[in-house]
Amino acid sequence: MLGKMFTFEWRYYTRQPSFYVSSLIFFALGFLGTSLDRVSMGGGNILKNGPYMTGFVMAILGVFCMILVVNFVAGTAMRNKNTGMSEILYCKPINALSYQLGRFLGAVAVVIAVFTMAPLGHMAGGFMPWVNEARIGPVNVSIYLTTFFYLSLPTILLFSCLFYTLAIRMKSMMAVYLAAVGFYMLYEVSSDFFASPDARSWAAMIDPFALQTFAELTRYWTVFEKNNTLLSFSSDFMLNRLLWMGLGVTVLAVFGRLSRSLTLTQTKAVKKVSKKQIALASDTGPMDNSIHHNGYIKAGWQHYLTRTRFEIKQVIFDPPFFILCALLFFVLLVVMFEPKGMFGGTLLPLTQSMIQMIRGTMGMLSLIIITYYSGEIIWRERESGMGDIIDSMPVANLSYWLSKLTALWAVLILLLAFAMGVTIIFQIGRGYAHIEYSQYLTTLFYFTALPWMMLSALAFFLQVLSPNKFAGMLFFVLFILSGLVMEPIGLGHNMFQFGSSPELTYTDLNKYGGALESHSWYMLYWGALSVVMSIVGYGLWQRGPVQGLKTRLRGLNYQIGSKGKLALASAAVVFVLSGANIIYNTRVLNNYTTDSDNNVVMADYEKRYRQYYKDPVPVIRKLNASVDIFPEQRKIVADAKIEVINNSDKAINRFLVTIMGFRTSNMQVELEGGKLVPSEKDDYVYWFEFDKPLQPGEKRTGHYAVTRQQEGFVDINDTVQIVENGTFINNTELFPRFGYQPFLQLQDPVERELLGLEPLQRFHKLEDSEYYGQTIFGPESGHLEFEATVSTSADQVAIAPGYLQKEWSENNRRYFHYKMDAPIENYFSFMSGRYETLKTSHKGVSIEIYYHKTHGINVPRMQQAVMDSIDYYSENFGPYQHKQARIIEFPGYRDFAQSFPNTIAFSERIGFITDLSDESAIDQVYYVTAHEMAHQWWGGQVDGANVQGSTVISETLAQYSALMLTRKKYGDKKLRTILRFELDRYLRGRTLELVEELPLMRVENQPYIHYRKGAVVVMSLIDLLGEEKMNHALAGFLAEFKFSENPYPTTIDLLGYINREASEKEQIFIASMFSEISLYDLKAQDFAVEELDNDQYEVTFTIDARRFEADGSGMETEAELSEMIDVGLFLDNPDKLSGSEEGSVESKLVYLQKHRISSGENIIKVIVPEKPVFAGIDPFVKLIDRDSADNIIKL
Amino acid sequence: MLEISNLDKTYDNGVHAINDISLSVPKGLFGLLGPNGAGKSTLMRTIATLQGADSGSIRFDGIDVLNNPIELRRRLGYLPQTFGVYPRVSALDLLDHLAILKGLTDKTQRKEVVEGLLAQTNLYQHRKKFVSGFSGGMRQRFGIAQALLGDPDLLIVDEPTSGLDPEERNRFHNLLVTLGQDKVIILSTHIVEDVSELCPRMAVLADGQILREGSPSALIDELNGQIWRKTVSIEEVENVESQLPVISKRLFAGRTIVHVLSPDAPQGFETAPANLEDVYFSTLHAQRTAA
Repeated sequence: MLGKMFTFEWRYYTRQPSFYVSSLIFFALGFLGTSLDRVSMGGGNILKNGPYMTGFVMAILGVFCMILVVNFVAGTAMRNKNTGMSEILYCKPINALSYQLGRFLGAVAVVIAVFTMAPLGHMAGGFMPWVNEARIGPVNVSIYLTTFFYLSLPTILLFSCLFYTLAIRMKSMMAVYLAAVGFYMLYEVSSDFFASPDARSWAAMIDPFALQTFAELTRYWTVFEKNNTLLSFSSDFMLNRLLWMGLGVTVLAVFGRLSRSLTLTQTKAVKKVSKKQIALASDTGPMDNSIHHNGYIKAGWQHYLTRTRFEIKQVIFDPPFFILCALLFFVLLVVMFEPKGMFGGTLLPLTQSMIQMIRGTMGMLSLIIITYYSGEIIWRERESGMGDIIDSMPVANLSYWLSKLTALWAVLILLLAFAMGVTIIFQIGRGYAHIEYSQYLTTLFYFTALPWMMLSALAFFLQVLSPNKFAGMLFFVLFILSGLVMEPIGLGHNMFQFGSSPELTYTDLNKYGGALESHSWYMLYWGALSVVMSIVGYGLWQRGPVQGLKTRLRGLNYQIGSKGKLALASAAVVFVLSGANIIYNTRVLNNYTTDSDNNVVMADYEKRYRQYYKDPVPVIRKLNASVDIFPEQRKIVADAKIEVINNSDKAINRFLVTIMGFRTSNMQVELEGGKLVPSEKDDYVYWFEFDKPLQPGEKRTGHYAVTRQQEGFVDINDTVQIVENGTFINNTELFPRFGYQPFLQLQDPVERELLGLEPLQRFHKLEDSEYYGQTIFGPESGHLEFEATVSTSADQVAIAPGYLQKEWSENNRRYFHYKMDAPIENYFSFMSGRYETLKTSHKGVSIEIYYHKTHGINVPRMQQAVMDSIDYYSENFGPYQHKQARIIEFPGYRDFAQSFPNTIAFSERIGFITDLSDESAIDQVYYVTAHEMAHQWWGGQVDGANVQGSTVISETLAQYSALMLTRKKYGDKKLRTILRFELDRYLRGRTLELVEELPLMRVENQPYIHYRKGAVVVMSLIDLLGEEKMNHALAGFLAEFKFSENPYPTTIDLLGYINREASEKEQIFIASMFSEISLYDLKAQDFAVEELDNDQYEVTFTIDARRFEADGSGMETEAELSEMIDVGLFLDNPDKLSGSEEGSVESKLVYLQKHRISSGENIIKVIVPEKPVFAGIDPFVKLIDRDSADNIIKL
Repeated sequence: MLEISNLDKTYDNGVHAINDISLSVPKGLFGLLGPNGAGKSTLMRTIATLQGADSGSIRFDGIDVLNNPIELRRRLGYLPQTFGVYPRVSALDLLDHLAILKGLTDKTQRKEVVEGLLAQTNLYQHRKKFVSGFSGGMRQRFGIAQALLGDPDLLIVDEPTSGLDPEERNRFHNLLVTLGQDKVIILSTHIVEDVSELCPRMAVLADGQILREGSPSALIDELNGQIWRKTVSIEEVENVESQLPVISKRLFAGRTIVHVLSPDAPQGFETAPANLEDVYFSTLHAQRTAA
């Protein structure tokens, strides 16, 4: 019986088209994973069919397997009921258990068979001729088998059990759909929520798809490991899989009604009414029943209202809607409370973040809603069987179409309004009073709901064209998926993506920016198309029995009617005209370039001009700029008088001038004795040719000028430098650049290879002293005398480096004249905006903070950080070189802070919107401000030579300074939290390395090394040498190289100063931190406590210790370990203590000493006065340990 | 009133559902009789504007039905053969909803009509209940009530009495007769009795064609004297069928009464008065043998 049912089920499904369609889809999904060259997830050198990528693709597809399970397994559970076969079947003498189990297993087998297509497709994709062979390893079946058995199979079984049970119990497909959506949302949410290092092992445990488990297992895998390490059944992995499989099988066994005898489910009997029937004169003819016709339009309007009310009621009072609300509420709740700031901090509940959350949460959900409800609503008459009656009513197709569309719109709008209500309550609950209702309404309804409404019209249209509900839903899903391939096939422009418009980035400073205008045009364009589809849609409206499209097309003319045709024609005209305007703005006024277009341009630049890389260029010594900013027109007119010098020992006959970025006009470069000549091939490259060569050491004067303007609107990559409020543009973005610009070179090795470029040498070797005379800015680098007159609108302030000499108004514009009293690096910026200011003076330095009017809450903290920085850095490193320190907020299009001479540009996204009310959290505002202030010394006073390791001198030393300042203010405890995050980010960062990981000393502008590893390394140096020695070393280093130009210092110089403070043994450790990629694997293995007679305790602590050295690809080899490492004994778990109140670690500390730890097993015996409960090796994570969780052991 | 001419419809799957039908239907009840699959429902749905035709025309009181369906819908009452209802809507609400769609926009008038129709169909005491929870007969009555909304000039009822108990059926028949005085009512059925009870005119439809049309009495008269009857055992039936044109067989007390159409009396047969059933079966028989 079981076998027969199994084969019946199998044969049933293998004859359904859905089996073949889904098999094909899964094959394609797997196939794309290896065959698409552009899919270069996870970095450049990762094998697409290696263990990591295979596991990753299969784990993602595990989410998709829910669709299969719903379709096949839940379909099996529901089929007898849905087809009405149950009455016939259940009277047969069937053994229930084997009948149900057989069917269940049959359906599961079908799911497995379909899913298997994915690995097959994945294997096949690798053989495609166009695939880059370097990224495909030999086919290794064991990779696929382990992934299948560890990842896919348990997931399939789990969902089969759950969804089968749910379908049997709830007797509703909708319940199963919703469960699937719920699981998906839960996954989405939990992956964010559990992103902090502490919560990850929880996430790994509770993720039913095991995606988090997979992520946890492979979190720190380097490229080498990703390509060579098979999935292992780690304890987390095993636990997760067993937990979920066990849950699934239990649920099925207990609630699945597998062995219950087969009976019909009870339908509620109609309550018997009293037999006493009211006698009515029923044999007479009907009363006045005739219709008083009242005009077509009025009736149509009334029909529309009635139908709309009815449709909305049908939708709203249906359980799915309540469940959707509950789901949305739950997800929002989780998202609202998840930490979003740096180091697990929270952000203020700004309206823009609330809206961001709603949009993020609803994004996927809205598509699911539209897909599902469009089918439900369009096919309601046919599904309920009411179609013949309803459709014979004198109601126009248009009324049905519009009322149904309105109902779907109502669902979307009500959900958005509901979400908005939830977040507003949250804002109020957090005590945040600045609730921007107009922003809520504009973003949520105009920018969010409107495109969804158009998508709804499209979904309706597809439903009307389709022979049945599922085909219609499938078409819509295919449309959604098509969005993924539009970009790769060159149709990435939003004009080709129905309902889409240029992405909106809302910033508090610049509000909607240009998006309001561009969005409106796109909405007009898509709205007109929606009208066209709606008219054709109601023209083809299905009435009565289901009829083919051909039949309905015949009636199209009549159904549309003359007014409809007029509307159709007008809408078509609007569509064409608005489309033309979009093309004019995005392709004529502006260049529409995709990332791949840009890559080609960059590659061409490199191919043509790399040869001039070493050519000397004139270096600017003096610059007097006149910059007129027109914020409303998004225009800058800049002209700078310059004095240049030839610093090289060769005469300069000509040099390359590059002008890149957004559209420019009126570009001029004039120097005595030469002229600017356009290059033949590229409109962004010029040659400046001297009639009279510029001799070594010779100075000449001239000027360069440029007008930059963002005209009209763009489709992608809007100009963020020049905006209505919050202009922020630096000289490299504004002015033409001299010489070959290496920063324009493509970095991604895969892209480089595709475009026929040689592998990139990112940096000059550390030892290459040829480049000691320049900084990272290349041949242009050098100090210059700076002066600028900046003008802007009357209501804005314009800022440039230097001290304000004069401020005046002229022609309703404000002018500011700035002048710097000492030479600055050739890197400066111009800013303009409407700002509030907070000013003070500290030790002769005036401190000014320019901020947006609603962003004042953290400004005093920034001011404090600036003052503390000036104190600490001046005292320990050397005096502050300026008389002023300014912080200027800029719009959140970019989210960094950047230090310029006496000026720090600070994004609104960081610092200003951090919620500092939680005292236990990391004070991110203070930390970031301290970091940027430190750049006035590191970077401002001393900068690294243009060789490997240069960013250590700016970034790592700024990290060090900020850490020291934070420690001084907040103590060690907070530092540990920061370091745990930094260590984690370093270990994750190295897994995404595109080219090669380098030791800190040779870092090639790799942020995960100079910031993250840098922070960990400098703190281990503090631990080793102490603050005083370190500061002494840095002060000495600074003193030698302050404002030095030739040579600039390198990390060799820096290390020399540090080594001077260290003993020989310490130098070995320092060397391993700086010049090797050294990783520790410390593990607390065993821990025993014995009570001695004298109230003392003897502790035996066994540690397994290893040290590894990794090469650039992440391959590790064991190296010798013999170092002094912290050993601690505690009364409570030290991990838990770090976040709690001050001093708690110390009070729970029984013992903390450094012991010499060597490779292999180390046994440490100590006698302590208190009985410890926890023992830890390197408990405060001072070393780079890939698994710091096993450092601590409980008694 | 209703003129159907040369109507033709072939489905995509090749079924020729309506084969060149021409029909003229006057005011009053018109019975459309035919076996399952004859094309009755297709014809009814086509007249009820739910479905187009490949060729031909339908005109009702000057309205070109196929090309201007919305005009007809204002004057149409339609009760489909089978229908479902929206879930979770009470009889009162649903009928009210349909009344609005029908064009009964005046609130007080509509209330009166809706309640009146519910009373007339004996659903008044159930009006607050969901129609989806109704039993088959109650639901059918609801269907009748909605078809009568707006006092239609053309009433199309497709097998209306299926599922009704005899009492209800009688009440409904009475209602139809009353209504038939000033409208066109097309009653489709495969129950001969319904037609003979109600319809002054009728047509027999099979394989998408009108095989016979006229008033039932005239059609019966045509057969008078040609119907012969014999009661035989079940075993003998086959033998009789092989020799004579048997138009119908009916069991009575375990034996079979066969009716034979013949100008002359076959041996052993007695004469039988022709009835509408004989008309129907003889028509079908003639068509079968011709085919």
